Amino acid sequence: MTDREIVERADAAIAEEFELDPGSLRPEALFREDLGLDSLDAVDMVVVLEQAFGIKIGKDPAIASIRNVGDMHEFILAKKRGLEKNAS
Amino acid sequence: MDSSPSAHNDGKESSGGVPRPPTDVFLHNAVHLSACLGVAPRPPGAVFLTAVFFGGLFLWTALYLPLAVPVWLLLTRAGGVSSANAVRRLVHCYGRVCCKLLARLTPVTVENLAGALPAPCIIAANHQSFFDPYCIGFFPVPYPVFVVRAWPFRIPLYGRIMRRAGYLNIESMDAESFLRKAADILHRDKAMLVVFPEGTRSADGKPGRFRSGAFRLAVDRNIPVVPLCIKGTGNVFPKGSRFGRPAPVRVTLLPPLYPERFACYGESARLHLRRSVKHAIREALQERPHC
Repeated sequence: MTDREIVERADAAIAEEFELDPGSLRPEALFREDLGLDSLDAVDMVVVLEQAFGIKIGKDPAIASIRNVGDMHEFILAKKRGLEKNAS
Repeated sequence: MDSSPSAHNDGKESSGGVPRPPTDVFLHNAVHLSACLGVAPRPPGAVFLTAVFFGGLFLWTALYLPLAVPVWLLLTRAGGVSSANAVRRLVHCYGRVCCKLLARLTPVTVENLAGALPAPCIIAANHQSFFDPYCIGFFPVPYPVFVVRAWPFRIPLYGRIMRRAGYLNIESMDAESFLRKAADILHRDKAMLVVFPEGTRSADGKPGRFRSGAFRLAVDRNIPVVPLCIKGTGNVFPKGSRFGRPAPVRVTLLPPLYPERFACYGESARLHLRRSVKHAIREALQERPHC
């Protein structure tokens, strides 16, 4: 899966879960201020990303530093790269 | 024709021969003045309802607490009821009286279209006012377990009772812990989980975005969801207002939705169940626009 496909899949999953317009998921869009998500949604976001990519995020401390959509893309890409490195 | 000063005035001359503006001009001026002063106009009966309701609530709480302790002891020691279930039962009785108090002050209609509730089940309600959790008292829900945000646990006494009742602090656990703890409570205690999937009160009465946690639990553990439509409590106790006001309230328990109906959607079953619950509540809100 290319980076672009990963980003698209993450955006589609987040848009569906949080009833967001996919067009609003710009990399600079802040989850709290621009998209109206809050601490309750953070729990759902972890589950959605885990389901979308078949990965385990759990209580990864890096999740707390996600502020905008771009951070989320970086996080998920780093996770996938980490998994691929471990597999090889 | 009644010519007394208190009679309805439609803009004609008063008994003294001086023309008076119509009543709604006075009302308009009062509203305008209130707006200039930054004070919301209070409808008739607002002060009475607020004083009687909160006074009654305070009295009832002060009376109930000393009564509740011996009843809790009786239920747990002689009745064989678990400690948490005894607290839940006592909280439900407390809520029933609060509901009766509200029904004395404003017109309340209660409908149960769900029939006998399945146990365990998840009751998912829309959220309009602080009174909504009490609305469970309108229905036979013996062991309600509320899913609550972190801040109510910090309220003195209430927080302690909520911990005793085993209510779930959704902000203190991850998704897996929530699923495990909620499923344990539901199956062990034959309890009913009460959730407000919006997570906060709606400012305009329309249901906001629903969170998925409760629906994920329903699909994972095959637990039916009973939608609860609460209409009008937001008008009685508006968000951000210190005063209540009389307004019609309608509380409707809607037919349960069973997760197996949504199994065909696979991983997105929870989203379809969530949409169906929200749709059922929205439909019930739109019916009978004047309660």
